[in-house]
Amino acid sequence: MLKINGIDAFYGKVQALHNISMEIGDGEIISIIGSNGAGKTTLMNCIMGVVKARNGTIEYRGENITDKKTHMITRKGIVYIPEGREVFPNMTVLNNLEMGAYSKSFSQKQLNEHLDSMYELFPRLKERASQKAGSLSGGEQQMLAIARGLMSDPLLLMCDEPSLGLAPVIVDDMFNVLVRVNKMMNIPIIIVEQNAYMALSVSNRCYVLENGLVTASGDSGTLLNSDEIKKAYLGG
Amino acid sequence: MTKSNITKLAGIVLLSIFMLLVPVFVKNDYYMLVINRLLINIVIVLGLNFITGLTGQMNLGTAGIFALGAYTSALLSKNLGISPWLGMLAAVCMGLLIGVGLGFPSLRIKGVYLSLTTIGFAEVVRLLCANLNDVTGGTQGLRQIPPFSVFGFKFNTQQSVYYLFLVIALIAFFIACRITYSKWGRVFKSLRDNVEAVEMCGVNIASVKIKAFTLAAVFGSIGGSMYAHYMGYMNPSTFNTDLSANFVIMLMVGGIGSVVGNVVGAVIVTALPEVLRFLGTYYQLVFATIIVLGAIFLPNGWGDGIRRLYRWIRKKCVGQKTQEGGAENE
Repeated sequence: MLKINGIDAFYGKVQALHNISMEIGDGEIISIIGSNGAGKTTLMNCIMGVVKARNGTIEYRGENITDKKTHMITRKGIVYIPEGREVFPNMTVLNNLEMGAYSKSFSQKQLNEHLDSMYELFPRLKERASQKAGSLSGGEQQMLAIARGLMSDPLLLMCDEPSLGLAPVIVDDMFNVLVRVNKMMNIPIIIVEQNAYMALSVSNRCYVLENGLVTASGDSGTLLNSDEIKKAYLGG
Repeated sequence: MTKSNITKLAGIVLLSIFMLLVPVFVKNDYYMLVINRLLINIVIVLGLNFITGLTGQMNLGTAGIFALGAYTSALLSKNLGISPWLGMLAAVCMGLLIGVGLGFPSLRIKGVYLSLTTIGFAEVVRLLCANLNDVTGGTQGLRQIPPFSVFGFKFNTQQSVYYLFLVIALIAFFIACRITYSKWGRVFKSLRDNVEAVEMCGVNIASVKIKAFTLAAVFGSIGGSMYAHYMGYMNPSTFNTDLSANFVIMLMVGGIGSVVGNVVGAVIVTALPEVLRFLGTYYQLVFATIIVLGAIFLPNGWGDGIRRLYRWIRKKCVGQKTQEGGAENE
């Protein structure tokens, strides 16, 4: 599905990513964990074309998308839900969802079908459809951000820190939803997280980033039990 | 038909009759002039709403757009003898050019810097109009601009111009409504709300911003063309920064982002100086004070204030009624 071949990324003279290679297969849930400043978000921005990779290539369904513009990448079916619940606070929940379908030319009927399936997935959003998105709670805003992303029938979903600033109960909900999306829509999901335990327990495979380098990768279950990961990310 | 639909329909019918009868009741030519200027202002504010109201990019260069539209239309029809309608068409093309020209810098510069750029643009236009003596007539102004005409009928009385402008303003209003409450309008609004998230929705921000600027410039140029052929004379001192600020005030008074609000704002800001005329030289002081107080206490526009007042009064009345009802029961 998505193949990253040895990319380097820079902010000015500072190198943020060193020779990163990754592969995301169909229907997989991949997690990327690492501490602050490890380069997780930079990697996402590289895939989306917000930050340009200086070396290496990014291939998506056999096509090189390294130099494509962000909105073109979104139209190809990669949906990125940025960190920090980027909703449109002064627009209603319904309008937010409609914005998600911008890149598709849906008929009114198709649009309604998509809205209904989102409401089914996130019943809370239906109750709040006419409310301003800024008035929702943190968890609801994150749900809205994900639902908005799903409105355009993505082929690959990437979530940046979906658990950021949420209550522990909501965090569980959040990850359950992501697993359900993965099963229902049969699309691969990339989860970028600092909450290493949650990320490892829901994902199939995991990459560990440290200072812009992939230091470990493999089956999530194996990593969950490895001593190094336990020590560095899971608190003993 | 439901009750609210009937009320709406009745409101529209009453409003149309009122608009049609305005020249019958207003016999004073000066007041007709003010009303016709108001219709021009409405067209321009509807355009400005796209860029400043919906996408939230402060444009203080409306006077420049207005002037370019006016001069393009006026010079072409005066010097080449073409119909003012073709002049207006040329002004629309000019609007497209300005829109793209102003839209591109807006991709790089934001906030107050964009406002300064737009002020700069308007000043450059004004200075060019004032100093290109051979073309624009310089500070002396441009005289004898031909009026609009249809099949030999000349729109040269205040009343006939009123009906013509009313039609143009209504068309502009419906176009503005259609755009504001569609996919485009939604994208414009989302750009004001959260730029980062817009891009993630697959929107090409550059093209949307240029679209918004172009719409504003086209509406503004049409307004300029209307002004030129209506007044028959113009000089560059009209198109100063005050004028640009006035359009932003109309937008603000009406409530930013709402199409009906734009019309309300244009009416209030155009009419207020006439109402305050009895104050003589003090009128500007009072006018400015009213506007500033409005900005502080009614941040969502005066229309919103009126609506809130209405709701408050109704609540009071209903409250009293239930109290009275309670008393009767006792």
